[in-house]
Amino acid sequence: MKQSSDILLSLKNISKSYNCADSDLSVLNNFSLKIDRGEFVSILGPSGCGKSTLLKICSSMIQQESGTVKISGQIVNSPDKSRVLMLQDDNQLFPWLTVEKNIAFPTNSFDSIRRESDLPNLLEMAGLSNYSDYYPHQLSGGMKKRTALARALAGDPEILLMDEPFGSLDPKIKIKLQDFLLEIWGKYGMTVLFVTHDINEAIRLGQRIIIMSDSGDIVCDEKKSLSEKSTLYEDVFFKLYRKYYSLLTGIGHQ
Amino acid sequence: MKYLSNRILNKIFERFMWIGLLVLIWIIAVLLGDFSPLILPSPYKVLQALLKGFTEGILGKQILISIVLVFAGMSIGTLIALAFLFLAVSSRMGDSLVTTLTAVFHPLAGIALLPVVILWFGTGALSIIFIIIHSVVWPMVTNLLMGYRSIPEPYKIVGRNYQLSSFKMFFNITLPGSFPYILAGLKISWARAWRALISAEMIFGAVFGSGGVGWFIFSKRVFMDTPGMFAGIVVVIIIGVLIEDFVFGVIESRTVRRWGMSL
Ligand SMILES: Nc1ncnc2c1ncn2[C@@H]1O[C@H](COP(=O)(O)OP(=O)(O)O)[C@@H](O)[C@H]1O
Ligand SMILES: [Mg+2]
Repeated sequence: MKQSSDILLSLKNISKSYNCADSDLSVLNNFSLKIDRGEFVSILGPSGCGKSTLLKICSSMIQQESGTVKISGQIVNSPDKSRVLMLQDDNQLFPWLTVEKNIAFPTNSFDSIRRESDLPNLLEMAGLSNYSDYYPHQLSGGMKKRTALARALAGDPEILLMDEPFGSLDPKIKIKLQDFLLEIWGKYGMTVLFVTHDINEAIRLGQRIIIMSDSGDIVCDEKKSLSEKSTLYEDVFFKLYRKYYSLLTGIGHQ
Repeated sequence: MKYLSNRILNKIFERFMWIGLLVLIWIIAVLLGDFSPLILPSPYKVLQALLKGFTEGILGKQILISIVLVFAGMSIGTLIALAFLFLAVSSRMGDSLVTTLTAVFHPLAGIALLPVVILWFGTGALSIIFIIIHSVVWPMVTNLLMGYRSIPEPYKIVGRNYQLSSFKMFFNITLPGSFPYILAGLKISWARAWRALISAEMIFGAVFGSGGVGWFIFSKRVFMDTPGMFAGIVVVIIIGVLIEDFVFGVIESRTVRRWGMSL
């Protein structure tokens, strides 16, 4: 059993519904989850099951109706720079700032600049050294994602909440970005909650995989039983894939 | 940078080409049509009148007065529009008040207000500035509100994530995020203000002793100095084009165009 001091993020009995037209749409119901410091967690779930809502609650961008969100045991109610939300939206970069200024945005926004000296490193690591003066509209989709990722890292967050960040990219660039993400996770050791609807991606990235049902409940939560070296082509990988596929779609048996 | 200056050079060239063509047509009309110089003077006569306006008259000072008036009116108008924006976004009642005021006053031509304005403020610079403010505030408020509402949610979320103060939120996100609309508002306001100014100057006469360009045109009419009237019109056009093409053109290429944010 884990010591409680290892737990970075803890959600307890979270409920959240939206007012739609005349009725209330209940999205999360008594949802509880504990995430250890430094974990890389993939979250899979069908469209509309509440993944984005979950991340917004984790970052306090929206408020739950009941239940608590705790960071290192402390209840949190408003957004802060230790929990960085990366939206699904393709246009989260500020168009009026260059790549470099976008990445520097978090360090310019508060005084405890731990990563400012890291800016050139971040640019280089994201492969953007030659593009530091470009404006976002001049970048390819993959470069935009790397810029957004570098910006999210610049503020030195404890936890990265990523909402289908690589959804709209072609497979080759996607793999590159996944490797990039794994590399910086290895380097910085921040905690990552990674929402995706791509089973391959979830298995490839996560140490731990959580699957949500249509109703927003957790139907599977397990540590990945694969060695770090396993590739997409190995049998164990396909076994996991089939298991998650059937859990997500209800098709096939485990 | 090269791209930018080429664009502007191109624009200048095209402008001169078309203006040259218009002047050519004008010359041909003067040469072929047997117009009295009192009806249609030649461009040469107009140019002479223009130079005379500067050397013997006080056209330079009058241009300066016009520009100062329009600048003052636009600045105050923009500040008032900003105040309305804050009112509109801070409460639902404020929003409905500002929307109603805009709906009521936006369609009202400044000229229609003149008699009342004269009653209230007399026939001085104050009245002219009032007319300019009226012509600036409503289109500006409309654009500021549109800009404010069009700022994509993600920008605000990033701002909140880094706990920006309201001050930083305004200057780092709201302002640049709605800049395309602010610029559009300024351009529309400028065009309206400049027109309103010239009309108002004709009616209010010699403010600050000499009046502005509008008064220059009007006073030429009194002496049936047709080339002088044309010279005044030319000045009005040149200033209009300069501001539109070059002041706003340069701002646009340095901001919204460079950022890929053009409306
Ligand atoms: N702001 C909102 N207002 C009303 N309904 C919403 C809002 N945001 C999300 N929803 C609804 O809540 C459900 C869960 O949404 P979301 O968390 O975005 O799901 P996911 O990210 O898993 O696709 C969906 O049915 C969605 O339509
Ligand atoms: Mg979503």
